[in-house]
Amino acid sequence: MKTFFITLLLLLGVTLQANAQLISADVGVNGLTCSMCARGTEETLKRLDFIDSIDVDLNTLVAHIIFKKNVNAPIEDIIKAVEDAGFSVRDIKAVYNFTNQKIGKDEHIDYGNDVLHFVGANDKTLNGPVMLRFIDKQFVSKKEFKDWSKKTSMTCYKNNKKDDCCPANVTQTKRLFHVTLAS
Amino acid sequence: MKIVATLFLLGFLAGNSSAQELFINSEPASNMPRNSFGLRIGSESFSQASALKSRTDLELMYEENANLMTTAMLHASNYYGSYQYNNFGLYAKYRIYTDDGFKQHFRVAAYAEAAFGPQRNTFADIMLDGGNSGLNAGLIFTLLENHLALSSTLGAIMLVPNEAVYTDIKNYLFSLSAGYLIYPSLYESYHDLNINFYAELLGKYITYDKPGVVNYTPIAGENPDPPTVHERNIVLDLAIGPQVIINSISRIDLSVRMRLISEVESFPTPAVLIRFEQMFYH
Repeated sequence: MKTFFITLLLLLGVTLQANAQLISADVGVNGLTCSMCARGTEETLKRLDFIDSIDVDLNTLVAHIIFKKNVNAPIEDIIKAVEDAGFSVRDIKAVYNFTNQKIGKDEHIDYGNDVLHFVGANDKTLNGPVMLRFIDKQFVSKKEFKDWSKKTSMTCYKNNKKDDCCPANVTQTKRLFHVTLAS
Repeated sequence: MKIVATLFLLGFLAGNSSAQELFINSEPASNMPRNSFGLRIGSESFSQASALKSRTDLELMYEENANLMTTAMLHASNYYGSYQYNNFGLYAKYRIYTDDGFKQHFRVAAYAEAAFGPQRNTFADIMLDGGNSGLNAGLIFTLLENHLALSSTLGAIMLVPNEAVYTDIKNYLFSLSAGYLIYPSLYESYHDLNINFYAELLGKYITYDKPGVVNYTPIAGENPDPPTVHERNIVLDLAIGPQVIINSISRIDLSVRMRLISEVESFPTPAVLIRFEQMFYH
């Protein structure tokens, strides 16, 4: 019965959300230094229909993004937009609004197109706005990547891609990211 | 050379200033954001035989994807008599290597240009924006490191003869450009006026297979004395000037170009360039 209803909802095009809503993100941009380049990056990001507002700090080179409510916001699309602008993403911190979301070591939670793998997290329940830091290989230093690799036995983190270790919710269409609670 | 050294030193001493790679007389290895357009209109003028000669360039740039930019160019001038259409050109630049860091990057791009013009070349220095037909291809290396924006272009230019005065002539271009942000030292918003200063060394290495006095019949408006061209010749110019960025979307360039080494005839200097550029995003 449950499977039937889930299938029905999927067929109706309703995305199954976890108990989470992406509210905002701070995306560090590498490679740019001029204000014309920063404006170009902002204009390219503005084309994404799930972004409500965006403000690029020209000194710290961080794009602060506020997302539209109840609209799916794939992190991959943000990364691609920065690359389309001619630059690359240095790091990502994102604020998700959680409702009774249980997390723990190697917990994988669904959010729209994305699956967030909590690396080395303690068991706890997340409620309200929580900032997560993305710790995939391309977003951290070599040393930090080594340290985080020790906190999980799952090969998906070390190999920086979906692997046999990933649970069933990490399907072909989902994009896997590795996260930790930002201190 | 002292002037160049002083300018580079000023760049290093610029303290909080950072660098911008929107060079005036050369293209950086970087591109524009995908699907954006750029429109440029510029004019370069110099004095030749007590007459003011000037050239106007109209350029439309389009970024197909993050790596490929294409440009269509139209040129007109009074180099050949009254002000008239000279030639049109197509330019493409493809980014082949990127290494990005915080407020720094190193990029390499390959470029190719084709110019189609009815004019004959009376200079050993091939002018693809001045009416000559030809092909130009090469590599651009751009480095942005804290306070300094440096770029080097290396290319080879082949003339497609059209009533050629010179045949068997090849140009190899080499350039070194430096730029730095003078104002502001700390950004507040896109509406801040940005003022940059650029110093660029623009060189041509010209080889000629028939060294000696060039044998041709000058027509009206051309230099009546046939020039001498050696087997190997260097032309080296220094261009310096300010650039103003408005609302982070428009720019005004001003550049004065001076000849440092002149082993063969080229267009006279000092030459003054003024150009306006506007970006368009969907």
